Amino acid sequence: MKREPVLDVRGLRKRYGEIVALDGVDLVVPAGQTLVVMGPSGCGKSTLVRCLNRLLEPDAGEIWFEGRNLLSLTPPELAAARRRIGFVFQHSNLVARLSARQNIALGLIAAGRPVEEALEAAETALDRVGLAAKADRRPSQLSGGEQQRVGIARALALSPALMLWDEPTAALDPLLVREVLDVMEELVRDGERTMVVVTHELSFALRAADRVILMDSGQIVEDGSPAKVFTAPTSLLGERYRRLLESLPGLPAEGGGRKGKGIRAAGANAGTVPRPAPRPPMAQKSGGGRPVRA
Amino acid sequence: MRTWLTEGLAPLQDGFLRDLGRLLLVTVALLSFLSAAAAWAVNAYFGRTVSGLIGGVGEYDFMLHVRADAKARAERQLAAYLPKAFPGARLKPGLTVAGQTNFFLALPPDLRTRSVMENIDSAFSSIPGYSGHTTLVEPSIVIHGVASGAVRFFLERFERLPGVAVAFADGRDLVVAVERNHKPEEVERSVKALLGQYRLVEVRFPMGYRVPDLRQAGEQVAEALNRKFGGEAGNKAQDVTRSSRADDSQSFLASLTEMRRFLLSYASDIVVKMDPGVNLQRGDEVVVGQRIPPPGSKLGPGSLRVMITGVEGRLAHGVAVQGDTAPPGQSSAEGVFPAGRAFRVKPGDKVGAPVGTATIHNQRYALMATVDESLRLLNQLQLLAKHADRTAARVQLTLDSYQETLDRLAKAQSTLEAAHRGLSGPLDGLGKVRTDEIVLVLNRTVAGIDDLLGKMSGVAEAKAAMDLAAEAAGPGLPQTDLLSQIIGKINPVTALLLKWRAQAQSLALQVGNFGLLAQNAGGVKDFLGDLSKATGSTLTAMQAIDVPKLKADLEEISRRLEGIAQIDVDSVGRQMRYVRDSLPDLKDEELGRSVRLIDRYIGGEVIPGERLQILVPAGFPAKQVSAEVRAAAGEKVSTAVSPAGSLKPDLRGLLFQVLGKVRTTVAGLMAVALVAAVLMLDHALIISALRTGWKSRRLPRWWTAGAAAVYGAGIGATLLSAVFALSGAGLPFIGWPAVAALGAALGLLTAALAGRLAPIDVGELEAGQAMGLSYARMLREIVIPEGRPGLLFLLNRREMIFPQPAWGQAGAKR
Ligand SMILES: Nc1ncnc2c1ncn2[C@@H]1O[C@H](COP(=O)(O)OP(=O)(O)OP(=O)(O)O)[C@@H](O)[C@H]1O
Ligand SMILES: [Mg+2]
Repeated sequence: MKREPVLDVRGLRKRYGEIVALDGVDLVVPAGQTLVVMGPSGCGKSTLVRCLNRLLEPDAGEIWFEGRNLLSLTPPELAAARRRIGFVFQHSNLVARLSARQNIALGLIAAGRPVEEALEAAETALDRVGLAAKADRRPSQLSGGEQQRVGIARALALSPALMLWDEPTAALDPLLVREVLDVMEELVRDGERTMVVVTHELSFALRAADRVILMDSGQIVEDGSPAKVFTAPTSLLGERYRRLLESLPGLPAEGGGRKGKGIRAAGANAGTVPRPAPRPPMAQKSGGGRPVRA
Repeated sequence: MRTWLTEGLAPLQDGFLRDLGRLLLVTVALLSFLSAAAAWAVNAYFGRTVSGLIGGVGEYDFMLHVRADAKARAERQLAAYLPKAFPGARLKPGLTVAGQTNFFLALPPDLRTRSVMENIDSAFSSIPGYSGHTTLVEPSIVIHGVASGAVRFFLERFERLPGVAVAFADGRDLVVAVERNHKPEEVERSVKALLGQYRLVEVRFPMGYRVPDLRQAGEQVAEALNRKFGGEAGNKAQDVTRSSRADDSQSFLASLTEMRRFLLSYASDIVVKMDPGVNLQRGDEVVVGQRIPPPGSKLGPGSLRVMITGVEGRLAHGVAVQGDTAPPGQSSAEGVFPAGRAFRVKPGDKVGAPVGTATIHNQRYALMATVDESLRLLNQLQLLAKHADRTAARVQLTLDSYQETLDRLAKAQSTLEAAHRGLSGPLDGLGKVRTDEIVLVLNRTVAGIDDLLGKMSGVAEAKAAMDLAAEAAGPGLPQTDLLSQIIGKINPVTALLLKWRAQAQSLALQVGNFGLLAQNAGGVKDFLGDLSKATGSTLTAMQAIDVPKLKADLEEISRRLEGIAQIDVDSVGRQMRYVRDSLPDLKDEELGRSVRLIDRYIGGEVIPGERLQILVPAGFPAKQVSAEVRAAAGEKVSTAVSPAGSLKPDLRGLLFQVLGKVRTTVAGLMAVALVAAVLMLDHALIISALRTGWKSRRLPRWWTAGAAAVYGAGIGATLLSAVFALSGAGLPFIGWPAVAALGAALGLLTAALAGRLAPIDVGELEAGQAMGLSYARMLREIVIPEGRPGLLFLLNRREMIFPQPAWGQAGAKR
């Protein structure tokens, strides 16, 4: 079905001196789509997502978000736009001195919400990631996975129209990856948000992505449904991914799909590395939050 | 398209500038306060110490010094004495320093009179251990250099100035005490103005010049000046000469001057008669000699170098500073020898242009020659005296013989007359004439004359020897002249006597041979008559000489001559030779060097004490005054015009001034330290955060570094200048631009080190950005609370959404 694009990127370019990190990227992301960005290390994935909310200044191009070019906004306009774009970092980047709740409330207060209300909303957001019980802990008192979940809650709390993820699980202990992926998949299932997810988690791409793009040397080389990209690649890089998938047991080679009906068969431990059996995600930790799995 | 400026300034929005402004205001206020407080504390501490040593400003009038060992007794006596002698006076014991205890004395206003102030020492002289005082009267103006003769004159005038409580002499200084309710600066101005109305003209006399009555000379000069320039009363020169004090230094100076005079008279005075067009000056150096190498060549070590010590007309006088005036071959009583040509000495010890002809005048040589000459003369004189004495003795004998001859002639005369009378009667009367008797008388007389003549030739012989000796003895003796006169009186008689003797002999021959007078009675009678007449005139001539008086004169001469003869010439000669040989054997160059040394010491002081001091109105034209003084006191005097007196910076004032400097310096150092701390703590963080903000923006490469440097330098300069201005700080040798530059330098340093001084967690900032936090908000909530606790940290606490205990979790990192 035809939707209005939430994000429309045109001719995006970014160089670090001699290094060309983005070499003319055009990308249209319709509302509600979950887009997974994959590619070898150094291909420009991080650069792309960080440009999308102007954490990095692109050298050229246009970034149209909700009908406005982000690159022509004044600082206050940009700040307002950013509140509509959640960003989850590889490292959670929580403010060390603030509790989990305060970390989340900060953005809400900056958006103009009264402190009390903001703290309540923060609590709700924490509840969604199963961390309501640890709301008053400071980051140093939380595990890496919990920190990352607080980071997700922080992005969520602002009810963004678009969520950008830059390898949210890459810095985590493999044992903790699942709990974060579970939260992410739950969010995908909600279907409320457009998401651009940079990740190396093939399983996530296969199970949750509506669309996968492969990047190589700052350019998009494959763009399509997971099934198309991973079974009928048109590029050398796509071919390498296909072979990688073939070599992994239990992962269906056919196309990805929409939430709920997507490729889900092969069980939870699909990915670049074999994973131990997942624990039940949030319920375990939150002790009775909203069920994440259907 | 956004420009780099709006991009670069973007972080400053949303209240950041306001926060920064407030931070700067608070910083300046607090730092100024702290700097000023530290300076005040230092000042208070030192000020109290100084006051303990020398009393506070204007608190006391005098500090009395008492030997520390007599302190207790002095204190008791002062307690008893003070209320009686100085009712209302206050006394406070001060510190004991270097064996001296000090008492501070404050006098009540009615006792602050000139006579009290000037007689403090005598008033306290009976206090045990009292050793003098220091005047502390404050506020006051101290004047020094006023001629002692003008002190009263000025004191009286100072006291008439508005705002002056009392003026008095304090040692050689004049102290003008200012009334409490008057500004010292105003009084100082009027004192200065009053002093400025007069000049002191000092008149000094050249070396060796003695003024019989200085006072009179001074008054004459003053009168001369007034005749020329003087107007109505008050615009007149006045003599303020005082005979100088005979203090030690002056008598030492006097001895040095005498020594110089001696050395100069003893050294060869080398006189250069200047060639036309040449102008030698005092202090010039010339080389003198018969064989000087041509101009331009190097001077040998043995050359006679002369420093000119004075110029008189076309003659330049000098002393040898190198080489000796060669001892002259022949002695000269005047001690003057030609010394050849004189040439200037050029730099590098080269012979310069010829300047004149030199002669050496040496009193030493003259003296030696004189001694030798005197010794010779002394011997000659003694010889002369001997001859004179012998001559006198012979004259004595001659006079005796003269008297005898006179008697015999008188006898012969009467005999001859009788015989003549006998022949004049009847012829037969002739028979009665006793011819044998005549012959006898004549023979005896002739014998007497012979004796006299013999004696006289003895005199002549002695006189010839005497004259010879007199000629050798130069000036001779007065006695020889007297002798010569006496002899000169006797001599003319000789001719008469010789004539008479011839006549008498021929008569005696006739009478004796022929025996017959009758036979030729007529011829004999004529002959007798002639002889008798000649005898008469001879007698008259001889009797004209007052023999007894001559004898008396002669006696006197003899006595004198004997006195001379008795002088022990040998011992006199020994003595004179001793003097001559014990004259110091100083070389000219040694003398010259000594003179130069003394000159340097006495600094051209001519004769200590011998000077006139004239106080003249400043309106008298200085140059013409000098000329007029020379006209009145002599062309050779030197004049110097100096201020009538000058203000003395008072030491205590100076000390308090230094304390003030210490205060400002402490404030300055404090300000620098505090500003440095504030820069490192607060602004390093701000710079670091700004840089992080700039990094993610599209900005020219130079912006990040350049803007940080500009920010650092600007903030540093502003802060330090403002704190300096507000706290009254100052640093020695440093002006305002330098202070600003120092602040800027500190700021630049901070900017350069910001990354290390205040590292920023970029991730947290990015998270903040991603949440849509404004830059200022990120600073307040993230950067500042996690930075070092400084002023910014404290101020920021009010701004934070989630505050925290001041230092509790500050800087806590995960
Ligand atoms: N700040 C920077 N300065 C210079 N070069 C950079 C910078 N950030 C990224 N690069 C370079 O740009 C290229 C793209 O980097 P980017 O981080 O976007 O890659 P990535 O696809 O995210 O890789 P990874 O999977 O390792 O995160 C790489 O070659 C990288 O070395
Ligand atoms: Mg990356």
